[in-house]
Amino acid sequence: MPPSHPALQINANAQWRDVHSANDPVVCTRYEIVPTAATATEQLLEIGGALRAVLDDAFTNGTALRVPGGRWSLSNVAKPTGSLLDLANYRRVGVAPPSWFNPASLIATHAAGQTPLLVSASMSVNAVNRELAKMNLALQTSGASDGQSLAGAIATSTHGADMKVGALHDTVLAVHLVVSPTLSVLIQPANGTLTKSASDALGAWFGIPCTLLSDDPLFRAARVHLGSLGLVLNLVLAAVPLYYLVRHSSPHLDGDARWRDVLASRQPLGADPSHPANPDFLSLVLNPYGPEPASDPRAWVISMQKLPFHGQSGVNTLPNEVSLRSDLFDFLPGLVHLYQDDVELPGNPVLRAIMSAQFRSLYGTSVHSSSALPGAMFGPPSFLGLDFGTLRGASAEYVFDAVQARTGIDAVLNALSAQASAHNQFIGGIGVRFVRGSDAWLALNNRPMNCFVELQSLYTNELPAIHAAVGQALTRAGVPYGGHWGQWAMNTPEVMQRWWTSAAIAGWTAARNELLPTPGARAIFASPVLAGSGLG
Amino acid sequence: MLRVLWFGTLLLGVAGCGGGEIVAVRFEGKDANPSAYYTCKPDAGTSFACGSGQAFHQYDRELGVGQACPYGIASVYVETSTSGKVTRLQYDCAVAPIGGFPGTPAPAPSAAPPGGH
Repeated sequence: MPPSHPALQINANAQWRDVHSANDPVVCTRYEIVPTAATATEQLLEIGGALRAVLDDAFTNGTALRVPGGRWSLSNVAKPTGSLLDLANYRRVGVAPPSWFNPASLIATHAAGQTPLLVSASMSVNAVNRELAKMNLALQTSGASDGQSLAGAIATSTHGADMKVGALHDTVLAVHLVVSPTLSVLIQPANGTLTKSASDALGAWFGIPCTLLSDDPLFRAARVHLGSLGLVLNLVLAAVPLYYLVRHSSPHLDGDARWRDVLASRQPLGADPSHPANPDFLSLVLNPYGPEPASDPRAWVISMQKLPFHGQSGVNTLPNEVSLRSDLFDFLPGLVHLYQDDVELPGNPVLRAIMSAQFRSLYGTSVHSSSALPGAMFGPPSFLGLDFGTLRGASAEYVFDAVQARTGIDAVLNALSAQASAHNQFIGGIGVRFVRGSDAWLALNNRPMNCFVELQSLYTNELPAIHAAVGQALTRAGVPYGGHWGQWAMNTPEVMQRWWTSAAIAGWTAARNELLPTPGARAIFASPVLAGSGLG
Repeated sequence: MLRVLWFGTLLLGVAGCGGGEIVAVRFEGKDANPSAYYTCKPDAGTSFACGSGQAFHQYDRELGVGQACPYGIASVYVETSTSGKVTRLQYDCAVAPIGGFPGTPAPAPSAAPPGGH
């Protein structure tokens, strides 16, 4: 008997695929929660009831369950091996009730310019930012794009290029996890500001008893949860007053030393006077090869600065108003468009000229500035609705200590060049981002300052060899690295041991065993990515 | 002539592709459910074969939605070939409207963020 609840719609033949077409499609059962009650209170009870019905079934029959999120990940972290529980219709956001907090600590939080926000974790980062803008608030950071669900973004340690804040998971104050049909937990750090009234309220709202856990190791695990510690239903986040982002982009020729200097200095002002002296965000876009013609730019240095928003004119508020996208935004769809225009890319003798034209059209050939709200700057790219046909997207992101940025990127570029000489052409672009460190156990940004190098491309038969060569080149150069949880699966147990400490791996695993104490419970929430990384 | 039914306010976006076009029809104020999308391609006859067990049928080039979406439709994508033939359709169901929590201030009802541009 499938689970039954008035707020549950069942599609036994649903197709799952990620938006980048990186994984093979899966056909599975999708449970969609569709609350219909009139009031918020009644709807939350409906959602809790439907959740219990699905979890009851999963725990009784040992059925694996994944929450699909935004389908943004290219890795198999969210790939369903059993059923899908679609929480996309649970969309609520508001300032967390003041009565939930220790009064003195709430005053301190406000004094620090932060507002605790309660939000359903199934909402997309983009939708949350749009709603917060109406409340004159904003998330502190997001990914380089923002179509992920909040739960999915923090699950995979998704990050943008924020050198001061870190990643989205570094703005989390508490995680509300449902770990069984009859138990949920609200996890915050040992010195967290929430009180038992918060967990009592959440338990009553959803009809799933909730326990407050003020525990540092559990909190460090829950913020980068890989979707495998239970079901992340709500988050308490630290929001900040609404700001807008001023973005500057400066193109640089291959031989221009200034863009390489930025890798070491993290001071974009040295690349061009249009950049601020103290940016909030810093990233670069690189052509993997010397451009053709050589008069084309090879690199773009991109900085962003946050400024308070008071309705100033000239600030874009909608995603489709933002010209010349940030970072690698729209790069992959652009390649798919090229391909579908019958331009055969692998082996094409003018591949580099085609690629250079692609970079030119997306990132420009002159210094460029624009301003946008965060909900617009990182807004939906054009691959939504795009049929990749027989093509597949592929993206791998390496992270290493920012102190080694210059060494690491030289190793990556040299490896790509050597592979190209052996006719293994990388058909894609490179994004470089700098992100402040985190103390979450499985955070990618686990050094004080971190350098991320994303190799975003079309999948070709040569790609595994190319990435193997890049990994080997980094190791030879003495650059330990990790791989993005939501991208090309490279976190083997060996890579894990080099990038994460044994204490971090053990801490996350112990938290999982504590929250999900039986093998059966762990199997229900297990992600395929765990087996590959030796985490379970 | 292709007629697409259902709609209220439309925003149109066009992207060059495949020598033909993809036309995106987006419904203002609606967010798509990332997991509730239905892709259909023309079959040998007059219908469209659809994934996810849904059905788009083509009668005199008129399309009807085979699966009702609980909160309506957020977007439709129509892909054509160079000769103008429809080669693919996709519609995305919308998600529920955003609300607040009991006892907390709900977001303002307007669809657009504040400020000018």
